Amino acid sequence: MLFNSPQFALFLLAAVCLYRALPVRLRNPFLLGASLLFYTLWLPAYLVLLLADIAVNYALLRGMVRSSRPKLYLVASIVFTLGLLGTFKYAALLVTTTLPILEGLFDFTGPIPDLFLPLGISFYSFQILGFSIDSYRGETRTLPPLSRYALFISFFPQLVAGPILRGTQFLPQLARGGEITPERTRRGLWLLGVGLAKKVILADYLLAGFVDLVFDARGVESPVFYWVALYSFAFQIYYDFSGYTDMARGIALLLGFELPFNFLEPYLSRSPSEFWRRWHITLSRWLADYLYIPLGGNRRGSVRTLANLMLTMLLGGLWHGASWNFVIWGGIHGLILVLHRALGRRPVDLDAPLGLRDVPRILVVFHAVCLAWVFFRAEDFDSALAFIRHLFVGENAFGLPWIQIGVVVLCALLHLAERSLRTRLPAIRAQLAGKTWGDAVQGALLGALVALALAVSGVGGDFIYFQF
Amino acid sequence: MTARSQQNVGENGPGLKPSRGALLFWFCFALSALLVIRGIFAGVANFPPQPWQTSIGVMNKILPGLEAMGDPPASPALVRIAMLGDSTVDFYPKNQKIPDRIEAALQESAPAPPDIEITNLAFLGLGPTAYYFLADRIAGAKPDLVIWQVSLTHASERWRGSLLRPQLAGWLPPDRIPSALTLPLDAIGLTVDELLFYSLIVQTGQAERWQDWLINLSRVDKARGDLDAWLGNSPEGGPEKNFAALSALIRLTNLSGHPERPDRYNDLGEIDHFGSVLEGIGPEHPTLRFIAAAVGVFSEAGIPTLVYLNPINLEHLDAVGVLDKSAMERSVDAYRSSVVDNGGLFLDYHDIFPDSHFADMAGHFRHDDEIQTQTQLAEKIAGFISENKLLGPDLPIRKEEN
Repeated sequence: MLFNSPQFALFLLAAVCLYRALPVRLRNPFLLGASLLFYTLWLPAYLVLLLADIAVNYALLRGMVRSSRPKLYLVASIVFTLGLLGTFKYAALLVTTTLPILEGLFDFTGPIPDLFLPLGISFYSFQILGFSIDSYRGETRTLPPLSRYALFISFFPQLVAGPILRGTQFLPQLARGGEITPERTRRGLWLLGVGLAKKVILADYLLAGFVDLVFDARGVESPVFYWVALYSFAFQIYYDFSGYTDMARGIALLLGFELPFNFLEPYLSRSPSEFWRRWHITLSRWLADYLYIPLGGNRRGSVRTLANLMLTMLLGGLWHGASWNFVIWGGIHGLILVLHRALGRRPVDLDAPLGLRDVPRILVVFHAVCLAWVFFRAEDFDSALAFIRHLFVGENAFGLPWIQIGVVVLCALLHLAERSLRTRLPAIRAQLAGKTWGDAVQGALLGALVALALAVSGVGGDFIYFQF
Repeated sequence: MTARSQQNVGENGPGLKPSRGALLFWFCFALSALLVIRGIFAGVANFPPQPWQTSIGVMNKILPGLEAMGDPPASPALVRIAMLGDSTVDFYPKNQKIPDRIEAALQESAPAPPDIEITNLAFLGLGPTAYYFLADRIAGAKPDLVIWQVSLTHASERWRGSLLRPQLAGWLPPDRIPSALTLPLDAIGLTVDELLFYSLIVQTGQAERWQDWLINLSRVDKARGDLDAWLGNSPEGGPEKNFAALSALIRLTNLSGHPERPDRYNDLGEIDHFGSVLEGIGPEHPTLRFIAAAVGVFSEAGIPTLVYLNPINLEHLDAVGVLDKSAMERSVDAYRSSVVDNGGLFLDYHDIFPDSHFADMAGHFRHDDEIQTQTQLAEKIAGFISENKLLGPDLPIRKEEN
């Protein structure tokens, strides 16, 4: 179920009401049932794989806890989980890449696998792996019961597109049970409404149409359109994914759970490394903790550090999809990070206020990120190169796309406003709390926002990150 | 929210009793939402939607036809036929559509022509999946014969990507849903929750409200496009002359039109139009599984089903170098088996007309003073029906009733 669909609204309403009406001891089992139902309702066949992944990994975790050679169980967990992910997500890419070579060398031909991509497999596989590694490292004190582990992996608000949770972070919350408070409920409703608006109004209604028009165009030469489409896509993917994350966090709050931030105004980053601390934060941390640092991180000399960075970003790119374009996208970010580190990076305080002197650096980082997005969005490598060429070559035969320029400026202003709102929200909430007019104003504002999203929802569209 | 109300709803135990603050919040939420929705819909009310602009608008045409067919026949001798298909059946002027021409041809064909009534249930973009969802309702109207046009383009990825109406799944009877779940719904972008939700709307009698809502949404969607077009076409010209001009150019550059034949695709366009059919498909193809399932529904109900494979412009496919005859035959065989193996009759007409019989790149037939392709096709279908006495007293349904 898409979060922006009416059937999900019904499902959520029923799930939240029933969950809150149940005695605390029955809430987690209910939530597990609801999560599995949520997953089944997409495509029942997906459920078998998810359950198999959970069951096998839980058995291996039990073995790990009891065995004197826990590493064997960890290796088995990694091989099994990555094996499933590789088979369902990357088999076709592997075959289409190697088949021409095999044909040339041995005159060998074979079928290209046509497997369905289970929803959210990249996200829950990383969550499973993270927990197995944490258990091996002794960072999780005890093995949770199977039902709690299954709920941790399948928790429906974040099952299909994150945020990627850590056991140390979420299992204690599950053990305590969801803590429902009026503050969490109100915050959850706002996150749900704002996330819906980001997705439906900004990403789908105002941005996607122009992006599709220009990215899918062939032979149109008008650089301004390509630049505007590039900025539009940068904001489209941000509002699409961060909108989903806001909704996921909002739903979790309605159930009494806190999920981590996944975005902190990434386009206001002053350096490439800061960008990755602000964009898809839970994935960046996962890659840092379970890939970059185990590879040696920055502890084995500068050359090895740069190699580790590059490898991490290449694999991070591949995680996004079975296409070489994603690897190139990761590679570009790797190169930017390597260059930044080689030039001598400075530590950045994420909460430091922005000043005018930061503007040039923000613009440089934003444009570097935007150019990398071309490979993320384009159909293939040649299309990406053609798009980049059109950014610089051609005449502006069609004048300026004023409406879309206005939309891009609006998105940029909203991005700035997000930062300001995030820091001031607690104070605003405190002011509104306890005032009758505060309830009325909040209700009216949220109602208007949700209604606006509903009214423009005819455009529709899947969340971009659901395909990963 | 007051401190007291926080106490009321703040406990971490069960309880749904809302506080005054919460009630006020939800009241203002609902009121504001209603006002905004009404305001927006009133603002775009001047964008008149066409039936095809909403996914379920086609039911405005299908349902009256089905209801009329389901009524007791005016005379016991009346033979009723349901005609299914896409725009290549329905595209032509009144009385010149394929069902009209079949009816006329059947009336002329026999010395004592049967009393025949053909209900045209064909419509723009209605393909196998749509008719699978409607098959039980069509069967429920008890036609004596179903004539169904299917096309090789129905199996293309482009068709599946743009011309499906998955919302029609709402008209699937609830007892058919379990077997529907065994079909490749994911291939047509339909998830289980959507299927159940659409079904819930239709089963609870809310289809008309749903249609109204979809019309309003399509108006809002159209509003932005029309604003862009208005700016592009404004007499002052100026820098706003952009989006509409770009859209027009992109349409031209992207449609892969043939350089010398504006009414034909080039090779890329044809590959896009026909998709994997050009490489040869098997009966496991999602589109064919829906055809098989729909024919199976008609067969279960004892209704003879005559499925014909629409003529396509093979000559042009050959001319632009994308025709692999053996692959095409594999595809045709797969269509045939999906029909015949489920109790239907199959007519392969895919290669009967030359290039001159086609009006456009979409495969609609030429119908002018010189060539009336759809009439020729209708006569062939009527001829087959007559030769095989499909409308005689031995009709399975008649036998059953007797």
